[in-house]
Amino acid sequence: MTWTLFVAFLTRAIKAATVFIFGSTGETITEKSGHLNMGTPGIMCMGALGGILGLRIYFDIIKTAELNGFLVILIPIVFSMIFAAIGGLIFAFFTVTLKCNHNVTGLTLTTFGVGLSCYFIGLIKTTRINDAGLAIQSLFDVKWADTDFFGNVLLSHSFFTYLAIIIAVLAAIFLSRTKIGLNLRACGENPAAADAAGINVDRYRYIATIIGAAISGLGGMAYELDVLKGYFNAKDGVDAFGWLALSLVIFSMWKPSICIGASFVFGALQQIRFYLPLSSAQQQMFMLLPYVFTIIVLILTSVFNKKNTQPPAALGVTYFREDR
Amino acid sequence: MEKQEKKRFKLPFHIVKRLDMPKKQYWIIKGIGFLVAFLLAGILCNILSPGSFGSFYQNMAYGVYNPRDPKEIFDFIETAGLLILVAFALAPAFKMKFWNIGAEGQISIACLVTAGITYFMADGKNDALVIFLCLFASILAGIIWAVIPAIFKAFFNTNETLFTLMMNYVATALISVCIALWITNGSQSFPFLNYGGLPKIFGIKYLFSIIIIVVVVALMIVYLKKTKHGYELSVVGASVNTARYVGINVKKVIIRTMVLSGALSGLVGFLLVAGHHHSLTATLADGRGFTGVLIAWLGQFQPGQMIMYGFLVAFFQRGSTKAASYAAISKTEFSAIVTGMFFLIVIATEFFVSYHFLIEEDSKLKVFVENVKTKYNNFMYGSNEVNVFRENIIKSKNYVKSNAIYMDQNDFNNYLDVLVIIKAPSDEEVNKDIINERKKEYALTKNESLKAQIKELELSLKWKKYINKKTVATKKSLVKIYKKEVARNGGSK
Repeated sequence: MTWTLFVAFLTRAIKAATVFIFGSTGETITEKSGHLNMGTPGIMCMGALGGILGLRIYFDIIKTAELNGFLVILIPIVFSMIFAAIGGLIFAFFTVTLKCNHNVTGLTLTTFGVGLSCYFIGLIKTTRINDAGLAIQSLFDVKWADTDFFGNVLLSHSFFTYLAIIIAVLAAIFLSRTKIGLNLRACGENPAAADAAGINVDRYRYIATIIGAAISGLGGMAYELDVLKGYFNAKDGVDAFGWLALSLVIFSMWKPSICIGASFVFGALQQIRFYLPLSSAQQQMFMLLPYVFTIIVLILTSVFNKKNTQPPAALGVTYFREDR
Repeated sequence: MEKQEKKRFKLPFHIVKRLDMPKKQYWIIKGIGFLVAFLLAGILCNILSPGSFGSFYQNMAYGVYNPRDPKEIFDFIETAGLLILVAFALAPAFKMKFWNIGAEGQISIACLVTAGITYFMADGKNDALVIFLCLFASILAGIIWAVIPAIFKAFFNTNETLFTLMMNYVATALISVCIALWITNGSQSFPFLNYGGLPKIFGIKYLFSIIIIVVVVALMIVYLKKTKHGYELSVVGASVNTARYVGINVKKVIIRTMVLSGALSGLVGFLLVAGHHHSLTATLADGRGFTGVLIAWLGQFQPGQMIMYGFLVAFFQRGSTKAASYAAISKTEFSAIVTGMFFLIVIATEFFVSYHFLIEEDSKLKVFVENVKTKYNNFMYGSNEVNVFRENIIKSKNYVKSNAIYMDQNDFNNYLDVLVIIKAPSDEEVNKDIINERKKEYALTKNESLKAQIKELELSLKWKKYINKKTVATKKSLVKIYKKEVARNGGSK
C-alpha cells in the first residue's frame, strides 16, 4: 500500500467511523437507562430517510437556485433527528408505557423501520441531492495537499464527523460526570432502587430512549450524505451499520469515550477491503471480523467479571413498580 | 418562610397487573388487534397506490389460496410451517428465560452446511445418502452454533441476547466467505443444486417438508407438555434459585435445551436449502429467525397459539406480497411494513391483556367517568325519578302477570335464593305511557325541564328496540340454566 493510498484509507475509515460513533453513542445512552433497543437498525434507516426527505423538500423549494451551505447541513440533521426520535418514541411507548418485551419490540421496529424507509427512499427523486453531498464534503474541508497526513486524516472531513466526536465526548462526560447521568445509570442498574430514591424511572427511560434514537438516526443520515456523498439507493444497507453499531456498544463496554476509538477500528475493518489487494473470500473475512471481535470482548468481560465493564444490570428488563 | 411544595403532574389513573383474564375477553382483544392490523394494511396499500383498496383483501386471500393455481396452498403451508418450526425451536429456550435470538444464525449455518455437502457430493446417484448426511450435518451445525453461547451463559453468565445476536452475523458472513471460496468461476453466486434435494410426493413440491414439520412439531408438543424436561424448563424460567434448591442442574438444563433449540433450527436450515431454495445466499434465512422469536413470544410459548400465529404471520407476509404485486408496489418492503405493523399492534394488545387501568379516587377523571356512567345508566334504564314513576304506572295498570319460577335453595348453594323471571310488559309500552303522562303534565305546567325529559325518553325509546333483543336473550339463557339445574337434581323443584 502506498503512502497516498494509506492516507486515503485512514480518511475513509474515519468517515465510516462517523456512522458508527453516532449509532453506538445513541444506543449507549439508551442502554445505560436499561433499555436494549434492538430497533436501532430500523431507527438508523428512519434517520437516513428523514435526512434525505428534508433535503428533497429543501431542493423542491429552492429549485435551481444556489444552495445555502448552512441550511444543507442543518436541514438533514433536524429532519433525521425528528424521524429517528419518532422511532425511539414508538419503542419507548411500547416498552415503558405498555411494558412490552424489549427484544420483541426492537426486532419488530427493525422490520418495520427498514421496510418503511427502504420503500420511501426508493420513491424519492435523487436530483441535486448529490450536490448537497458534495457541498457537505467541501464545506469544512481544509486539507492542504493529497499526501499531507495531518490535513487529510484529521481536517478533511465533513461537519458530521466533528459533530459525532463532540456528541460522543459530551455523552461520555454526561454519563460519568453529571448528576443526571448518574441518575440515568441508576435506572439501568437497579430501577427499583432508583425509584425508591425519588428518580422518575419512566421519565428517564423515555427521554434516554428518544434522545438516544435521535443520535442514532444521525448515523444513518451521515452514511447516506457523507459516506455515499448523496448517491443514495433504496438498498444501501444502512441496517447492516445498525447491527454493527449494536455490537460496537458491547465492544466499547458501554463507554462513549472508548466508542470513538472502537468505531475507528470498525470503520477501518469495513473499509480496508477496498485498499488491499484481497481475494473476494478475504474481503468477506474482514466483514466477519467486527462480530468476532465483539464476541471475544463479550466473553472476556464476562469471564473477568469486572464491575465497570459489565452491561447495565437491568438491561432488557421492563420495570413495573408493583412487580417486586 | 415555608417551603412551597412543587405541584407535580400526576396521572389520573395508575396501571395494575391483571391476575387472570377470561378467555373470551382475551380473544376479543386479540381479535380487535388482528382486525385493526388487517384494516390498516388495506388503508396503507390504498395510500401508496390509490384505488387499490377495493381488491386488496381479495388479493391478500390469494396469498393463501389462488384459484388459478390451487397447489399454491402448499407454498402457504410450508411458509407457515417453517415459521412455526422456528418458534418451536425457540420456545423451550424462552421458557427458561434464555433469550436466544440466534435462530437466524443457526438456520444460516445449517443452510451453509447443507448446501456445501450437496454441492460437493451430490452427483445424482447418491441422493439418499446425501440427504441423510445433510440432515445429520445441518442439525449438528445448528447445535454447535447454539451451544457455544449456552456454555458461556452457563459457566460465565455471558449475556446470551447479545452473544446469540452476534453469532447471527458471524454465520451470515461465513456464508459469504464460503461462497467466495467455493465459487471460483467469477460468477460470485452459488449455482442451483440439481441433485440432492428432497423428493416430491404426489408431484407436490413441499409436501415432504410439510410432513417432516408436522411430525417434529407434534413431538415437540409432547416434549413441552408431557415430559419432565419440559417441566424443568418452566422451573428454571420461573426462578433459577428454586430450580437449584429442588435439585435441578441448571447448567445442564441450559445446555440441553439449547442443543434441542439448535437442532430444530438446523432442521429448518436443512429444509430451506434441500426442500425449498436448492441454492445458497447470505440472506437465505430471510429474517425467519427473528420472526420466529416474535411468534414464540406472542404465542406465550403455548403450542396452539404459536401455530395460530405462524399461520397468521404467513398469511400477512404472503398476502401482502401478493397484494403489493397486484397494486404495483415494491413487494418486499411493503410486506415488511405490513408484517411489522401487524406485530406492533399485536404486541400492543398484549398490554391490555396483562394490565388494566385503575382510576384514582380523587381525580377529575373519576368524576368524569362517574358522570358518564350515570348518564349512560339514565339513558339505558331511565333516571331514578323516571324509574319510580314507571314502577307506579306498572302497578297502577296491573301489568304484572306473575309467571314466576321458583328454584330450590340447595341448587344454588345459598348463592341465589330465588330466581324470579317476571314477564314484564315490553319497555316500549311502558315508555310510551310515561311519555304520554309527561306530555299531559307538560301541557299543564309548561315546565321546561319536563320537555327535555320527554325528548330524552323519546330518544331512548328508539334505542331500546335494539337493547330489547339482548334482554330477551338473557331471559332465555336463565331459563336454560334453570332447566339444566333441575335436570341435574332429578327434577326436584
